[in-house]
Amino acid sequence: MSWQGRGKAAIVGVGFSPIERHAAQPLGMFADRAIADALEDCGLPAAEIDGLATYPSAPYAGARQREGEDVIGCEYVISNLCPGDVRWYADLNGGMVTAAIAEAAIALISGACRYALVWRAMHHPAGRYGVSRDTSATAMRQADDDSQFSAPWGCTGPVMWHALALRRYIERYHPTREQMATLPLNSRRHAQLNDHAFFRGKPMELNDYLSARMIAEPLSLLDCDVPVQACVAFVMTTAERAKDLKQKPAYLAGFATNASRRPPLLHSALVDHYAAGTETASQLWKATRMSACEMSAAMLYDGFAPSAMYWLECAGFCGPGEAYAFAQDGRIALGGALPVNTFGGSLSQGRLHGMGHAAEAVLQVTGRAGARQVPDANAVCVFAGSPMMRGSGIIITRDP
Amino acid sequence: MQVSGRATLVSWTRVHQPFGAGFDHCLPYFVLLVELVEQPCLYMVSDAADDELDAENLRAGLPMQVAFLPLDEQWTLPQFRPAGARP
Repeated sequence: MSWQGRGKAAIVGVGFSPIERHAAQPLGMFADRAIADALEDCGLPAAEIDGLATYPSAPYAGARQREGEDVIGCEYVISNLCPGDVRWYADLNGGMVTAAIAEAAIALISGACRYALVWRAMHHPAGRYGVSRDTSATAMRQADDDSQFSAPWGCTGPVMWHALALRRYIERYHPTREQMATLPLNSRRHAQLNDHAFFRGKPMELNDYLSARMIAEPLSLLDCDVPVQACVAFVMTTAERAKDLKQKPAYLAGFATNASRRPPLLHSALVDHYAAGTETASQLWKATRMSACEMSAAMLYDGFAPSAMYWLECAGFCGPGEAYAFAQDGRIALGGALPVNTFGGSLSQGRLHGMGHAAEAVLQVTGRAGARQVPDANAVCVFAGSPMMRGSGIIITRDP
Repeated sequence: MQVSGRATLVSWTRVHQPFGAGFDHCLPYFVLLVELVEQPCLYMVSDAADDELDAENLRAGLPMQVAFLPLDEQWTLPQFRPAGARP
């Protein structure tokens, strides 16, 4: 079903906080900075904001949920950063930030609000993430959630699910280690052109990838995104109101918030990857009446590098099992047929759970991507989340 | 429903990074994902010490057999090993 709201809502301002590791300042200050930056970007007074949407959840299992420190939900923004009267807000429980962008567009088009802030703030303190469970008798008795089926065997987090899935993929399709290096290297090169990238100024060579220490084979450190503290914020409004603001609007052509039955996380057999991710992509193409071949660039979630490769296949940029071959010969680089993650991806910009991807789509279609600008970029797709967990998608366009 | 304890290997990883206090002393170790023969997509997780398995021999579809291994005086875990291998 195509979406009736196509081109009726737009992202008009983009703001970034600094992107740091083990930050000394609380997350609230990063949100403050990103939101102020987004408002200044489009020239809108803060008091005009009357809608809010985010996907606020803390980025790792077992994290605390203190507003302003661990997470930035609507309540924090209403209380601290938003002087006007908020008429509509949404703290989403699922669907990643791309779903929050879609919700804000729906609210704007319906008239529930006039100007909306959408943001994603990430807090990664020093230390270990992922479920960390002892196998002592006491700890095992306490493992009463889903982890009771995996934690007692030392299978304790997303990196292992992804490792199990990638092993299966390698057995089927035989990508080489050199081919697996292509996306991380490509992203690191792109990050050298992005001021808002954690790894700017830190280039990577093939040998760095090949010699990186293993985390969970076949995934090495350089297949994992870098946990950062940061916030990225958007100002959104209707296409009509967008005309009066400073920047060129970036229009939302449509979205997919795949709500099909979600496979259990440990069902990491490839059939589930393709079922969920392919459904998300199919919904996005139908909603926008667009196709893969119309995309000027693709921003593909890369919390773990293989996710972006699976998205290439799920979205139909290539066939199943072809992603690693597809990515060769500069095809996913700037100047290639399908530039992927032109901002550095989560691998090299930092873990922003898809918000960095969405921001880059906006900057590309509005011609504001500087040295990494894709010529004549008029449509960019964003897939957030791993296809293994369904994910969600949006398409951002230059024209309404 | 009773199950036979027979399974096939779906996938595996060898974990090098410490993630759980109970495993920090035995890195690296294998995590195995097996599918019970009784039903498609009926998965169980297992683990194995690095010297118990040869990664070169691990393939999807490898027949696996349950073994009940005591963890301590109180707890016993079902673990899967290649069928025919000594537990």
